[in-house]
Amino acid sequence: MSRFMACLLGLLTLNQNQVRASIDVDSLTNTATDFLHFVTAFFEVISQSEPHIYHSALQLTSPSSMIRELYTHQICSPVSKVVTGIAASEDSCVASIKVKAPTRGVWSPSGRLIATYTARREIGTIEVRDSDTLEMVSALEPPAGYSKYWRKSVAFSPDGCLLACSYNG
Amino acid sequence: MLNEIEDWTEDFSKSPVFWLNGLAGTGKSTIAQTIAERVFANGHLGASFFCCRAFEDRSDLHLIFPTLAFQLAQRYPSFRSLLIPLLQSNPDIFRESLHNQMQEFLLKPLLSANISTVIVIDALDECKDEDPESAVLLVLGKSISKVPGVKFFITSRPETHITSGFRGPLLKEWTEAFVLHHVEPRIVHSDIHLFFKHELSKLTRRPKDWPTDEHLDSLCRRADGFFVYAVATVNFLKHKFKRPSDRLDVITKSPESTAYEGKAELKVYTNLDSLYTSIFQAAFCKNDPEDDAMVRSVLSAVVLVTNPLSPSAIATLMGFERDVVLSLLESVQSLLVLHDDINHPIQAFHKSFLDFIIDPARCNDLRFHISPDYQIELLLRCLELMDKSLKKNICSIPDYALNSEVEDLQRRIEESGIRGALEYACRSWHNHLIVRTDRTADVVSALRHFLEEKFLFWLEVLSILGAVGDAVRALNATVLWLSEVCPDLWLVY
Repeated sequence: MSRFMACLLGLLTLNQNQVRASIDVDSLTNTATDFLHFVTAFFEVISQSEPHIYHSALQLTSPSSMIRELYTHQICSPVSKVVTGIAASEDSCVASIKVKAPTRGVWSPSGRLIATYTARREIGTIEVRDSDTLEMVSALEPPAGYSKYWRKSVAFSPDGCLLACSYNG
Repeated sequence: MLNEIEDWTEDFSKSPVFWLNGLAGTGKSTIAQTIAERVFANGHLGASFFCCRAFEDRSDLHLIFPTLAFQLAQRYPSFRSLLIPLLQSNPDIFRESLHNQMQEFLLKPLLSANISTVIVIDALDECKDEDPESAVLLVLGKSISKVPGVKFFITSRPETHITSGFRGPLLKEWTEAFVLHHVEPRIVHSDIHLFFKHELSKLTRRPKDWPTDEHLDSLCRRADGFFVYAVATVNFLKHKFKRPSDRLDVITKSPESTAYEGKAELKVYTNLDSLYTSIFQAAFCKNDPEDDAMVRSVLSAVVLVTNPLSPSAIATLMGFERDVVLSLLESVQSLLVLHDDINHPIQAFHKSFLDFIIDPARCNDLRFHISPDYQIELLLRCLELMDKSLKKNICSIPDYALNSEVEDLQRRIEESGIRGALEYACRSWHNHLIVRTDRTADVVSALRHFLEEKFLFWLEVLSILGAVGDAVRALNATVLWLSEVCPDLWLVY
């Protein structure tokens, strides 16, 4: 009887070990797959600049990714500067706005809005978008009677309530 | 023989492909080298590719055609002016299929420029190719009739996928084949006899008495048509302190094999194998088992690595003293190409030595046999070294800089100590992930530690070395490996 019990006990512990082992491998596979997505999504950035592995790639990757979970402590700067060539993909939180002419943009102080200035056929338009959804909140045309030229300058007030832009009189 | 091939290179009425087929150690590469030099001297050489499995970039099928195209562009201005626009519109030549590489980057410009030239590809069997019929030959077969002015000189061992490639309907009628190991034995024997006599008489002060005819006959019988045997023997006899005649006795007293009990296809190598074994036994006769294990570790870092390492890199990677590694390598230096500079990569003197040492049927003194377990040993050593040496901003790159903006990047790399062992570990660890191992659990835990602690530092090194592609390859290999070992793991725990 006792021998039988010992056998059973042995089997039980063996099973537990097996389960633990397979979970081990599964979680490692997930980590490796997540890291692979990270490298392919930010391939250009990583290739071009070693410091931007931390400044751009790690900051711009999805906050719920495993690489962010494991390496958040390595993010050292609060502001990310982006080098060229970041691909917009599911893995990164980078999105793109389609524009038809040279565009420049500013973030509102809270980070919730983006104002973009686009100059097209000498007429400037200013668009304000929600920075999460990229939906247009407001679009501004040059006021009547003023020159068609807008200076390429847009700025939010420090409290984010006002948008200032300059133009030629 | 050389003259016959040289005639072929000049006579465009003969078949456009020449296949030099020979067993390991019959002198193919030497002939290819000589032909390439002669054809180069008379201005007909367009391009050459010498495959070599010891180097990753020389055993990649997808690099053959781009390399040839690049060389042709250097050689012929008309080819260059046609190739450049093609590359501008399609810069990703390396990722194209072999067929497209051949069509777009070789055939089209060759045809338009109307170039007649000779292209040499040596040791095609050394390229990694899993297909039952050699992919390069398949593509070549489809294209060869379209470029009448271009001749291909190709050497290889008689491996099935290559043999069937040349015998296939596309290539057969275009190919002239020459089988090196079928050359009249008498001719080869007399060449080898001459070689022995010439080389051995240089080793003694009394060339009249030594080597005797008996010695020479015995050596020639053992060489049995393999030049590599002759070269290895002479290397072995050249020893700084020991008398060549004593060393010669070691060889001539070992039994000459007549009856061979193993696989029939290995029989041809019997004498070569017993020579290699004698060299090992002479070098490590007084070793205890612990020393033997070290010999195997060090040799595995010579024969299993995917890019050659220097003695100092081997010492760092495998965790031995530099002097120990060096003296160990020197004791078998007749089998290696050693340099005075300990930072210079070393290689086996001949590929047949690699074949020998990893095959338990051939290397039957198992003290010197490198089993596949050493792949895992190398993998763990790589991971261990990376764990020990990788750190944040290892090259002190200024914050926010692009790599291209760092002017003294190369100097920083040299000073950081990445070169050598660490560079190899970072770029090649994944090449040693093999499935059959009883150390799966060790590998899984080492991989986990590496990914969770050192992953970004590793990416830094690859970024600086311009090798981020290796990260993609390594992670892909890891995911694949985990999926393959997973079922095995149930047995391990």
